[in-house]
Amino acid sequence: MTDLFKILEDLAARARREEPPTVDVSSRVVLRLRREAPVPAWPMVLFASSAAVAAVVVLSISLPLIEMLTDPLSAFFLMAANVLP
Amino acid sequence: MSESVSNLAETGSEIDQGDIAASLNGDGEAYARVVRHYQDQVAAQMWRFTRDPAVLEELVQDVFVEAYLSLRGFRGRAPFLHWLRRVATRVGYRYWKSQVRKRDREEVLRETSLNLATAPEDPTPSEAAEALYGLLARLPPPDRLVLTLFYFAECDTNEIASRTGWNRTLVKVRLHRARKKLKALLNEAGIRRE
Repeated sequence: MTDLFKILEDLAARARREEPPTVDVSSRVVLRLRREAPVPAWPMVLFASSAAVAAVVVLSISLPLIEMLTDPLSAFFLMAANVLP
Repeated sequence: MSESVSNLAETGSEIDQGDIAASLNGDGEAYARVVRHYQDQVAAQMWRFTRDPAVLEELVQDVFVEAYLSLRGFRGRAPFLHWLRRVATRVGYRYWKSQVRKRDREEVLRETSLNLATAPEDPTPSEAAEALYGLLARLPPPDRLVLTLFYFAECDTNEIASRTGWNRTLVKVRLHRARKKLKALLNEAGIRRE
């Protein structure tokens, strides 16, 4: 086992002296970043908040209407209770 | 430039923090300076993850794009290059995993990988790197990563843990298992150079 790993270590020591190819990616990185720039979050936040406000308004109008639909005579009895002694 | 040589250089060549701050504010030229400053060291590291110069360029680009997107996470407590090496390790490891899934080029590499038994007695650094790369490519990505960092980059278990994000115990266990698998591979290849 020691022999095998000795061979491997010698090989690795030699491999570490290898010259890797040179690269120049600076302009391509900047180009890619400009192309893949993350979409700003604020339009999404604005849209989500307006949707939430609209939903609250619709809910506040529709809830009393739904109540009237489920019990259509409630308004009549309420009025009658006020009129009758 | 080998990684060990670049390790010597990194202590005295930290990039101006101003360029990093300017990059965060969207200054493309400042980030291009950062890339130019570190690209050789990153390329030397990524050369352990591929032997294809075209793929190497892609990987180096990926490292700097990913580094930019998570630049706000850099706290400046450690040298920038250490942080960059962690990003590079992540990118390289992900590349290996995708290669294993695709089973294209890597499969060919495995079959044609230079057998140590037939490697020259006195290999050049390139031949040695090719042989070691081919041999480690036969292992699953986690074993391959731990041994690549151990042999190619001369990292100790602390450094491997730091670069991979694994804890030190896991690194030790993986290193032990990977070495056992490697030994089996070497025996299978009939390495007997006594």
